[in-house]
Amino acid sequence: MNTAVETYAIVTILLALSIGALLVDRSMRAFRSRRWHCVHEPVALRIVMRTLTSPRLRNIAVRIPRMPRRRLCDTLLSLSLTTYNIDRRAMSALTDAYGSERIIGRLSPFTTGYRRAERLLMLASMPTGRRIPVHRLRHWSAASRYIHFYTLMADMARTPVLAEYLIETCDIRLSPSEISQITAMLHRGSITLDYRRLLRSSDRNLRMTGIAIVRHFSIEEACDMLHDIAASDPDAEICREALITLCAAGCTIDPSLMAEHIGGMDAAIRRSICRHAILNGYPPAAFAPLFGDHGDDRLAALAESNKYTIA
Amino acid sequence: MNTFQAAALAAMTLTSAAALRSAWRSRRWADKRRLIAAVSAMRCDSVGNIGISIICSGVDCMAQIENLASPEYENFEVVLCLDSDTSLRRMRNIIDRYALFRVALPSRSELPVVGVRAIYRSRRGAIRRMTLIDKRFTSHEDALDAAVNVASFDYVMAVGRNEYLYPDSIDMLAAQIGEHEACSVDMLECTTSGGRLFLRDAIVSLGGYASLRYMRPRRIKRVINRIPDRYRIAGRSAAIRRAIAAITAVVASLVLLVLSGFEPLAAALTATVLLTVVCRAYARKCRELTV
Repeated sequence: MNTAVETYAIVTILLALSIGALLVDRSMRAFRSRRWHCVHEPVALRIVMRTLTSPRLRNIAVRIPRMPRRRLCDTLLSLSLTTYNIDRRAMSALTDAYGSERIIGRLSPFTTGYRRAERLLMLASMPTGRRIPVHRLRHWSAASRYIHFYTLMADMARTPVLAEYLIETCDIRLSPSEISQITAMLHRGSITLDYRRLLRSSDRNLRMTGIAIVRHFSIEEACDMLHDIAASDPDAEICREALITLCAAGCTIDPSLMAEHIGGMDAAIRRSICRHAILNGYPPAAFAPLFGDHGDDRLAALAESNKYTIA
Repeated sequence: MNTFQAAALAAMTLTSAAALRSAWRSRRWADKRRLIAAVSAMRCDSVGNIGISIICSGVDCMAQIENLASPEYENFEVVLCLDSDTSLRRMRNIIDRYALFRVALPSRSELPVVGVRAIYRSRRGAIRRMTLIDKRFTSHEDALDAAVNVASFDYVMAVGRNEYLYPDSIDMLAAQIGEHEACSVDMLECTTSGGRLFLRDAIVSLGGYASLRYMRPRRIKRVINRIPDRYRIAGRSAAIRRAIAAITAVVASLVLLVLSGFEPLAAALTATVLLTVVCRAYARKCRELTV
């Protein structure tokens, strides 16, 4: 018994020391991160912006002295994620010049979970002139949904012409959060997708992506296609998204055409649709054919509370 | 084998395992938070069509109201509920500050409330995310129900006095809700900060916040979230108290170890206390807003 207790005590002390070392490391990282943001990041950003905007400096790798490459990688990632129509060739030259490609491409087998997903996001977001070995992208078998999805994003960034094919053959049912990230990639110019082809497709992921593109870019020409989708698509989620996008675009909606189709949806989804319509200025009475039960005239209260009062 | 020793060893093993599990999960959630923050930064619109209404009762501190109105998420609003009998001057300040205008009182409502005198909304083109309700105060839960009645979006979350949102809290919540199908999650509960984000229809079907006063919400789909969405401005006394408690526990176990003549069981107890203290400190460090 004493042996077991002593073994337990030794193992526990060793674990406590290792967790303590992680705690100290985390505290130091927080301190270094604050120092980076206050001291080095403004300098790095100035150099990066000068390189991007000045054609003469474009081919010169300006050496940033004593700056940690990992932090610089994070700064370049932030810049890539939040900037539209950035010169991708210049960004890839910067990424390669400062060795960030080595950090991005270094996906060790010990990097797991959300950290692996973050590295894959870097791969998908930061343009690099050097090709990443294909075997590093083989993460489809991973159980984590995040790894699965960001592998898809990295594949799309690597081969933009195959974006539609990759979305169609994706095994997972893309969530609204994931679709919004694909739309953001489209907005940044990393991939190109034709919304008409997506809306005509029978694949659920492609249709949802097409609807998201129509909503994001306010494409009014797609109203007729969305109307047909809302009236006929068997997937309730697609119908909901199509209807809400029509409301956001202020298009003419004929509820009688879709009353039977939408009447079978869950009550919460129908109320959500009506709420979106009211917020976009549609009268509640126009949606009366969509609701089988009379309890939903409560939503008229939301419309009333958005009207001016004449005192 | 001594039964007492075996039982003590089993209890210490369970305690150590729980502490390690807590530290491991905190680290995983910190990694998830960093990932979601990077993803949220690249979006310029809402996640799908997800909208969130923040509802408050009795919140009249301008600094807190400005903090609640500061998120840049597109489909987002703040609904305040105050009583003009006690907070008339604060209400006038809020109406002037956010250029609110008076709107019609609804004749019907989803949740039964009494004492609503007036509703003010902000104009479009200005700050289009502020609603103020003037209601006779009966209880905080009734005030929250009145706020739910006029909330515009599909999800509602109550925020109390002296609770401030992190800059990216709304984006985080929307991103986590967006991982599931539309209107499929009834409640997103943050176990670290105690915040609960409800699907509006779910809270209405439960009978409102007034019904939740004495019961836990059951029979609803609940998703756990460990990323803190709010913080309270507390003095340094809380951190000092925690530090004193940790040091006291470690010192007491060391004293016990010495007094027992370095018995193996006392050594195991000291090691367990040390591991628990370190794991709790690590978990707290992971939950801090690190950049």
